[in-house]
This record gives sequence, structure tokens and C-alpha cells, in this order.
Amino acid sequence: MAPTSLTKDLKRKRGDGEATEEAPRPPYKQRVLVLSSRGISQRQRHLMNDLTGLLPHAKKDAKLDSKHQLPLVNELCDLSSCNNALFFEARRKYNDLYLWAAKAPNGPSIRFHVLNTHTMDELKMTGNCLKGSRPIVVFDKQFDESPHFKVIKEVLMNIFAVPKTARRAKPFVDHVLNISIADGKIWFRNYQILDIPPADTEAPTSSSTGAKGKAAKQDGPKMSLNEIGPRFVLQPVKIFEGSFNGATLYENKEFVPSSSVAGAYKNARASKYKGRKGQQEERKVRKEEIDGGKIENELETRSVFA
Amino acid sequence: MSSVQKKMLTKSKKAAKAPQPALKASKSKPLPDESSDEEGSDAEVLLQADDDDDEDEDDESSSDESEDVTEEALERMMTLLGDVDAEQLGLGGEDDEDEEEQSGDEDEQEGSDDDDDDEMNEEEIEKMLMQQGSDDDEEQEQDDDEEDIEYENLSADEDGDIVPVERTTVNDKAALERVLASFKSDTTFFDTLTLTNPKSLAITDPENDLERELEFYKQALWAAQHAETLFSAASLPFHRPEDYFAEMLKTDAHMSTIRQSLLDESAGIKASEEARKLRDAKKFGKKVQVERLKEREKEKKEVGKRLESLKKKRKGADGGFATTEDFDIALEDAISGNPSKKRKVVESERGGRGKRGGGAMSRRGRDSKFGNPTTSRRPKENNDKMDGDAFAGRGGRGRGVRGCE
Repeated sequence: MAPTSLTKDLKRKRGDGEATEEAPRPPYKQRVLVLSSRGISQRQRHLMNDLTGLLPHAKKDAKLDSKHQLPLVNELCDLSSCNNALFFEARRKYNDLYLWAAKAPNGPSIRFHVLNTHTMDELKMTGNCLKGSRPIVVFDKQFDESPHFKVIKEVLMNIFAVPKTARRAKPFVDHVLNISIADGKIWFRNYQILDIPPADTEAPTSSSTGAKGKAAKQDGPKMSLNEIGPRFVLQPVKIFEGSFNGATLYENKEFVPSSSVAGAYKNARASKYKGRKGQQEERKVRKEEIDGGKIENELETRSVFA
Repeated sequence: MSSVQKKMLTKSKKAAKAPQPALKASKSKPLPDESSDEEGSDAEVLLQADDDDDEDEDDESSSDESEDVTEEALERMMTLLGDVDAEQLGLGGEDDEDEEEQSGDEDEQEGSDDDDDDEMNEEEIEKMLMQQGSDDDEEQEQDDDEEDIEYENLSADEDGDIVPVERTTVNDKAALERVLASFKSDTTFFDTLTLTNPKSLAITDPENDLERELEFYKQALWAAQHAETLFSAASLPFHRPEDYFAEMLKTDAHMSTIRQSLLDESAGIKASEEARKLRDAKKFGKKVQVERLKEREKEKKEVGKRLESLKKKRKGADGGFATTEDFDIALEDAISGNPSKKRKVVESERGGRGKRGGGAMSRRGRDSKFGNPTTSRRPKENNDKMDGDAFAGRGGRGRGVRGCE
């Protein structure tokens, strides 16, 4: 399938005097504003920096002072002429990180709960890529199956897919961003594309002795992937109609905020004591009903020192 | 409305009884006086409640006024509440936390339930409503017939109020589609380099890390290959050429640290394997050594046995050996542990004549006598035995020594 942009260019070159069938599309431009709230921890900050490095069309901004005036982000976006925002909201109490992905002026915004973060610094992430190269972004099939996932896909695509017009974008395709859905959560992976077949491919021995000859005759994959990082899991919490404001369009049933998890744990432990005390009260009542409040021995200690 | 009222009143009675254990003691005495009333009369009283307000109040002012609520107050409350759904208030299903107490107090109640016939403490009502209001969203079976079943279903540690709640969440699909249409941009593959996997991921268990990561890897690999074909179809460069140097995401220093750690890991694995091999070999070697020691001990024992037998033979039958030479040979054989068959045959056949001759020893005899010099026992010597010096008694002594060995 030849891309339509190329065919359009060809048409113009042929010197068609007529107007093309489609109205000229506005060029695809995206810019992302990346910022965080105060109280962000070191690991979370590294994650934010890693993501900023991955996105050459992103601009990093200073920390946002208050968590309760989020619509300020819209103004900041306007100032830096960004039409997307990635806001890292850190909740210090439970060491949570929430990620807001928003289309700045009036588009929808999505709040995610970030889990299982691994930054690029980890020694298990052995891959490397050009800083600013445009990635291949691949989405899971499940993203097209429900309307809320469709919205999420579109927003994430606008943020993570680097447009051609980005100033710091480099040529050549170096890495793949994999965004999949499992267990109702969104899993993000970043792999480097290597032109070498993987080490353990079983190539059928052929008559030609050269290694290249062997590779050419292989049916197996001619490229392999190395994880670069970062890697994290996003659990969508809510989708809002506006950018950091507006009506709730979607709420995730399975999301349990950390405060209720902690509260439930505390309640479970407290109910033991409550139960015991309740039983003691019951026993008292029953005893009184049985005894009828009569005092057997008036000189008994219990009644004297009642 | 009336049935609801009745239910509320009966409930409240039970509720009123349970949290007031302290007062029960005082009430228990005056109770039997009013046992004349029955449950059935309650309904009548209630039905006439609208008409006979004042009468009711006068009749039942015998009990403490402070904790009673008049019929009027109850009615006012009912009107304020408006349409009351019996289910919502949880009146049909008995799943209050007081239920256990109520069932325990069942016996007492029948004797004393007429205490507060139509009167309820206003606070009691509110408290009850609060408890039941929290059950707003629950799915309930409200038949009184199912009381028993419900009680049994309650687990011992489960609080009666806590029922699994189906949270009503927002999922406005139409609005989502509308919003999507409003901001969706019309792009081609080469604008965004975005692909969607046509096959769905086969993740059966998200907890199984290996499987899950493998699926992600496969999806990413498919995407890379597909993109490559698209790029080559459009004759655009895809792979980074070897000589293209530019800033990378991770610094060279970091990459060398990674490489170093990989090398260290593999070296560590090798070292541990070597150590394990050595350990195993050592164990094996130890086994071998132990076995050899055991064998030597066995041999010594056998030599001892043979010597014993030889001694007995010598003592017993003098003519067993033709010459001392033969005896020596036999001794040697006993010590060495493997007598040659040849010798034995010769010994037995011989009629008493064996090898003679002053110095005509066998090869073996000469070897054991003259080969392998030791420092003290038999150092190298090149002395003339005829000289008659310190070696005078040596021959006999040596012989004697060897004989008595």
C-alpha cells in the first residue's frame, strides 16, 4: 500500500491544474509539554527524564506547585505552543504516581495510575538507540475494540509517535514502542531493532559456507530486538471530556485507589478488636439477663466495689 | 405505607432493645405487667393511628417518656421521607448488624415486646436509617421467608452491613465516540509510523512474566518487520548505517558499564561451574583414595594370614621347603600376595632338590635385595665383604632379619 502522501505529491508534480480530490490536509504537528508536580521521587523523576529523551518533540517544564489547580497546565501548554501534555502527578503518601495524558486546549484528558516502573538505567536493559529517532509505535488489537480504548489509543499515539516535522528528529528507524493491553492495563515496552538474527535461530546447514549466505537462506527473522527501556504499566483511572477538567466520560471499575486499599487493611485488623469487644458486651448482657441483677452475697467484693 | 410502618416499628423495637443493655435490667421487672398485649394488636393500633393519635399517646405513656417517640412523630417522619421503598431500607431482609443480638433476644422479646408498642425513640429511627442507608446499592432478597437463609449465608467474620457493592461507574460510549471524532487527526503511516497488530495477543495469564514478555516481543518484532517492508516499498531508508554517528539515548560510559556487568555475570557463572567441577572431582578423588586405603588394609591382612600359614607349615613339617631359598621365595610370594603358579608347581614336584648355589638368586630376589636403595636400611654400598670389617655379621643378620620378618 503506497502511502497517500507520496501519491499526492506525484499528482502535483504531474501538473494537474485541477484541485485534488481531498482538501490539503494540515501537516501533522504535535508538541508535548512534560512536567511534574512537587513531591516526585527519584525513580519517578528518572522515568520522566527517560520519556522526555524518547520524545524529541517534547518540552520539559518546571514543577507545578499545586495539585489542585491542574487547569494551569493548559495555560502553560499555550505558552509553549504545545498541543499535548504529559503531567506526572506524584502522591507522596502512598508513593503513587499518576500520569495525565491530555490534548491541551480542549481535547480529552486521561488519568493513569503508573505501576511497575523500570527506568532505562537498569542493567538488564541492554539496548540503545539514537536520541530522537522516530519510533515505530505498535498498538494491540484490543485498542480498537472499545470506545474508551480508542480514545486512549489516539491520545497515546499523538504523544508517543514522533511527527516528521519535529525539529530534533533523526532519520532512520531505530526502535519500536510496543503498547499492549493485558489484564485491563496498558503495558509499555521499548525495543531496539537490531539487524542481526537472534543468536539461537536454528539455521539448516546449507552448502554455502559464508555466514551471510546462511542468513539469506534462513526462513527465520532477520532482525532481533533488545529492550532499551523504560518500561511501565498504566492503569486508566478516568477519562475526562476536557483537558484537566470537564465531565467524566469513563471510569475504570477495577481501579482501587491506594487509600482504600490501606483503609481496608486497617479495617480488617480493627474488626478483630471490634468483634472481641462486641462479644464481651453480649456476654455481659446475657449474664445480666441470667442473673437478673441479683446479688447473691452482699459482702461479695464485686458488689461492694461495684 | 402502613406495612412499611409496621416493619419499621418491629425493626426499631429490636434495634431499640439491643443497644440498651443497661436499661434492660430496670425494665425487666415492669415488663410482665404488659404482657397482655399481643403482636396482632399492633396492627390494629397502627391502622387506627391516623385517627386515634391522642388516645394512643395517653395509653402508652406508662413507660418512660424520655425515650419514646410518639406516633405523630413517626408519621411526620414518614411523610418527610416520602415514598419509602421497603427494599431500600432493608426492612424485608434482616441483615442488620443487630441481627445476631436480635436472634439472641428472641425469647425475651416475646414476653416483653409490648413495652414500646408504637413508640420509637427518634434517635433510634435515625440510627437505623443510617445503617440501612448504606446498603443503598446492594442487590437484596427482601422476602421475610428468606430470613433463615440469609442468616446462614452470613459468614462468622463478615459484618452484616458489608455486602458486595456493584459500583456504578461512568462509561459514556456515545460521548467517547463523539470526542474521538472531534480530535482524531487524519494521518498516514509515514506521518506517525503507527501500526496496529492485526492478530490479538495470546496472553492467557498476565502473571506469567515469560509468556507475557514473549508476546510483547513478538508483536514488536512483527511491527518492525512490517514497517521495514513498507519502508522498502517506498524506498525510504530504514536501518541505521554503520557509519552514522550521532547522540544516543544512553551514553557510551553507561553502555560500557552494561557490557562490563554482562561479562562479569558470565565470568561468575564460569567460575562457579569450575568450582563445582573441582568439588566433584575432589569428592571423587577422595573416594578413590579411600578405596585404595581399604584395599591396602585388606592386602596386609591377607599377607598376615599367609605368613601365619607359612609359619605353621614350617613348624609342622620340616621338609616342606627344600632350602631356605625356597622358604624365602615362598615368603616373598606370601608378602607380595600373588604367588606364581610356576613356583608352586616346582616346589611340589621337587624331590627335595632346589636351586643351590652361593649367589644364584632369582631375578626377583636380586631386585628386592639390591634394587631401590634406602638411606638407612640398605644404602648404596660398594664394599668388599671379604674385608671383614663392620659388615661381618651383616649377611647372617640380614638373613636372620629377613627370615624373621
